[in-house]
Amino acid sequence: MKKSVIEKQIKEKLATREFTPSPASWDRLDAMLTVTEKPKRNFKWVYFAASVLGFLLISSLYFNQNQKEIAIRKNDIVVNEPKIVLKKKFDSTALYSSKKLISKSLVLESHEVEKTSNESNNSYVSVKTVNLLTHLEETQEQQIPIINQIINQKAEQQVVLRKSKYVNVDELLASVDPLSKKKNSSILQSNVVVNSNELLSQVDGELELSFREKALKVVNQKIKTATVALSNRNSE
Amino acid sequence: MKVINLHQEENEIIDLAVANNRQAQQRIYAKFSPKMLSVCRQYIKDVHIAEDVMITAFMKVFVNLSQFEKKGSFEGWIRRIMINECISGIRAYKKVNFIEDSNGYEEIEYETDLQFSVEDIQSLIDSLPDGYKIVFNLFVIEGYKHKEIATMLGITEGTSKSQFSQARKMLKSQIEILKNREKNY
Repeated sequence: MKKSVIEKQIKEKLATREFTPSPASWDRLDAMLTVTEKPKRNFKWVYFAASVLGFLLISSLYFNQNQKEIAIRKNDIVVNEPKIVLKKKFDSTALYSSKKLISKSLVLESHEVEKTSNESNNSYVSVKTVNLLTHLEETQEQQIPIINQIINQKAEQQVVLRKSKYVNVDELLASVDPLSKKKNSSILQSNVVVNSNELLSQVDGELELSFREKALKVVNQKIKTATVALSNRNSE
Repeated sequence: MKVINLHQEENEIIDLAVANNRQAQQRIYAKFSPKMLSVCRQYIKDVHIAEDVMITAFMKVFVNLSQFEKKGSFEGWIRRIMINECISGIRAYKKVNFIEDSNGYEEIEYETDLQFSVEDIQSLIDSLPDGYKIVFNLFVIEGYKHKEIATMLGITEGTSKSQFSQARKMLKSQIEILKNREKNY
């Protein structure tokens, strides 16, 4: 496609043409240039600082992630620990109560011996003391298997706890409670003369203990749910 | 000797302008702005808008001055930036359609004995639609080939040719109108 004469004429005439821009045009350009020049200052240190901060952030996140994993394991152990403590407490109280009962019965027997010695003659006293001693021995013999049972029970519980960390608290309590009842009934059967006030106070103590257990159970359940939720969140 | 001295002087001014010397930049602006405003006026009908586009283009010139390799013409380099800015300015203001004629293009001959003033030429160019005007200016005044125009505008070579053919057809009719007006006077 060749250019015509008119087109050549257009090119020549427009090439020589000039338009004088307005006097304010340079000021506008000057203002625009000053605006664009300002951000062109050296910001290398900003990039360097940003990169260092980014690296530190990433590294801290990475290391915190590892720590969190360990913390979850710790929590698992912590959650199970109250169960063990609970059992131990319960066992110790049971043992303590049984021992207390035995000692009380012995004290009562000795009181009876003292009373009878003051009232009756020596021969009668000797016979009575012998009878009482035999009775004491019998009671002691009766108490020994109960104590052994409790010790065995405790050992079994410990074994169960060692076998599995995740043992249901209710099941363990259910397994322990009938034995304690049996133990109490046997003690009551063995000692006919028992102070009712003391028994009532003991029952009150047991009730308080059960309430405490309930509270601990609720707390344990809440901790359990919290840990499960935490572990689920971390796994996500 | 004078040419060599002028060339050296221009290079020194460019170096100073690269170093954000405002006086050197002002000297470059004062030297080239009248011609560049004329270039912008070829593409944009409104002089004020053309001046705005020219200022924006000069800012790009000074910002990218370090990229100028001093091998070719400095004026040509600035002119190219001006043309690109004008095209993008027109496209920013309104949508420019480059429609390819399915019938192809035909050779159109003008009458040769006519002489026009610069104002008449500018009014003839202003009468063209933006698509035709851009292609006509690039081909006739700037001397680009259709292939180069096609790559510059992102169109096919055929579209560029058909646009130019349509521009010629329109100009011919406009010249006829002008001729009739002169006859009447």
